[in-house]
Amino acid sequence: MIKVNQLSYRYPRSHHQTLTELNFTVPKGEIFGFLGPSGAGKSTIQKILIGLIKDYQGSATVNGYEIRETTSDFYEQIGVAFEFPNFYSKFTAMENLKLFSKFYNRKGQEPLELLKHVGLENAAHLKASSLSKGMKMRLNFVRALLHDPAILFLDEPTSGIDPTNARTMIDYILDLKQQGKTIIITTHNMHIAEEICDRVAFIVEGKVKLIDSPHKLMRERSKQTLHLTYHKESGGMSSLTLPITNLASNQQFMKVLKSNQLISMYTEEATLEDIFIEVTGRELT
Amino acid sequence: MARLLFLLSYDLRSIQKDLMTMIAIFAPILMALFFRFITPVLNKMFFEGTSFTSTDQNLVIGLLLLLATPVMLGIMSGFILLDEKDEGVAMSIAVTPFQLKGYLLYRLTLPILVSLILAYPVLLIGGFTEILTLRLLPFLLLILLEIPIIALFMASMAENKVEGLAAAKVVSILLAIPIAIFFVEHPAIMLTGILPPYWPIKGYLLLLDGWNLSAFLILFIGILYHLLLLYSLLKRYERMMR
Repeated sequence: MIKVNQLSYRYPRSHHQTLTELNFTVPKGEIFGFLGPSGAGKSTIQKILIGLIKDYQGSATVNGYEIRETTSDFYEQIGVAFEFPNFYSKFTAMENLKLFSKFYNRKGQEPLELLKHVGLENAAHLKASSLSKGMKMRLNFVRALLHDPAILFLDEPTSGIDPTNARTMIDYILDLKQQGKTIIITTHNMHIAEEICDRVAFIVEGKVKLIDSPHKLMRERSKQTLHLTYHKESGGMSSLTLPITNLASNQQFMKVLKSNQLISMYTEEATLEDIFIEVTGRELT
Repeated sequence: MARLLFLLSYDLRSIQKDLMTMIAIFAPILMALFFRFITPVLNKMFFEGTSFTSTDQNLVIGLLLLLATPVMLGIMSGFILLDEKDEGVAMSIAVTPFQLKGYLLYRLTLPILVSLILAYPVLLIGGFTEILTLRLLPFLLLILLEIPIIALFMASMAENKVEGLAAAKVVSILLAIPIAIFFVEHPAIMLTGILPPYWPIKGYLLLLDGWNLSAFLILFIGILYHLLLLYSLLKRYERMMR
C-alpha cells in the first residue's frame, strides 16, 4: 500500500538534511505509527506521503502512485487530519463538511452519520468557531473520512480530546482498521502508539532507527522479572524483585504469598517510551 | 464546475458576513461616485487657469479609478488568502482533489473576473467613459494581473492578518503611480518602474500618441515583469504552504 525507498529530503535553503535514506513499507490494513520528538522529521514524512512536498529524492509510492507524479485522483484515495483542526470558522460544522465533501467525486457516509460516530451530532449546526478544541479535533477526523478513503493520515489524533471521547476515537480508528483501511499515525503519544499501532517506526534526526510491533518490542525488552511489595511481620513494608521463571518453586515468593501480607505484584514491563530512549538515546518530548 | 459554483455560493455567504470584504468590493464604485461630484470642485480650486485641461484630469482620475478596482480586490484577496492560511483551511483544501493549484486558481481568477465586470460601471458612474477606447485595452488587461500579484504578495510576505494590514498599506502606494507619472517630469520617475502598475500606465500614455513601438516595448516589458513577479510570488507562497 505504501512503499518508501531511499527517501531523502532537504528543505530549500536549509543547511541540514531533514530526511536521510528512509526505507519502509506499510501493507494494506495496517495501523503504522511514526514516533519521534518534535523536529525529528515525522511531519515532513507525512507531507511527502500526502503530496505536499514533491521534490524529494528516492521513491515514495502510495497505493501505486509515485507521489511526485500524483494527480487529483490520488486525493480521492487518501484522507488527512492535520494536528491542528482547521475550518471556516463562520460556518457550521455541517456546512464545513458539506463544502469539503464537494471537493470529492467519491461519496462516503452521510456527514451526519459520521458526526454521530464521534458524538458530535448535536454540534452539527454550531459554528466551527464556537466548538471546543476537542470537538474541532473530532470534526477534523470526520472530515478526513468524508469520501471513504482507503488510506488515512492522522496527526496526533487524540490531542486535546478528553479521555472519554479519546476512547471513542480510538475505537473508531480500530473499527476502520477492521474495515481494511490503512492508517498512518504521527504522534509522540506512546500510549496511543502502544494501544493501536500494529507497527511503529522510531524517527530521530530524519532517520528511521527501528521499525517493529510495539507489543513485540515491549515483550522482548521487558526485564522478565516480578516485583512484589508486602507488609513485613516486624512492621513496615518491603519489596522484592524475582525472576519470572519457576515462581512456584521460588521459596521467597511462596512465603510472601502464604503470609497473606501482599500489597501489590506486577511484572516489570518496558514501556514504549523506555524502548524509544534505549534505542535512540533521545527523549520523546 | 458544480464544485466551483458551490464554493462561490459559500464565498457569497461569507462576503455577506464580512463588512471589510463588502467595502473592498464597493470601494471603487464609491470612489467613482466621489470623483464624479468632487472633480469639478477640484478643477475650480486647483487647475483653473493652468495648462491642466479637464481631459487630462479625466484621464488621470479615470486611470486611478480603473487601477483602484484591482488594487482593492487584490488587497481583499490577499486578506482571504492570509485568513485561509492562518486558519489552515488552505492546507486542508490542498490535500483534496481540488489541490493547492485549484484553490489558488479559484481564489485569484474570481477577483479578476469581478474587476473586469466592475471596470465599465466604475467609469460610467465616475463620468470618465471618454477614456474608453481600444488603446485602453492593453492597460486594462495588464492591470488585472495586479490582483494576483497583490494577493500573493500579501499572503507570502505577511505572517498573519496584522502584518497583512501593514502589507496592504504598502500596496496602496500603487494608487499614487498614475498621479506621479502624470505630474512628475523628473527622470527619477523611472524608478517607480519597480512597482508593476508603472508599465501599463506608461504604455497607455504613450499609446495616446498613436500605436507606436515605444508603447509596445513598454507594454511588453510590463507583461514580462508582471509574469516574473507572479511566478516568483507563486513559488514563495507554495514554499510557505509546505
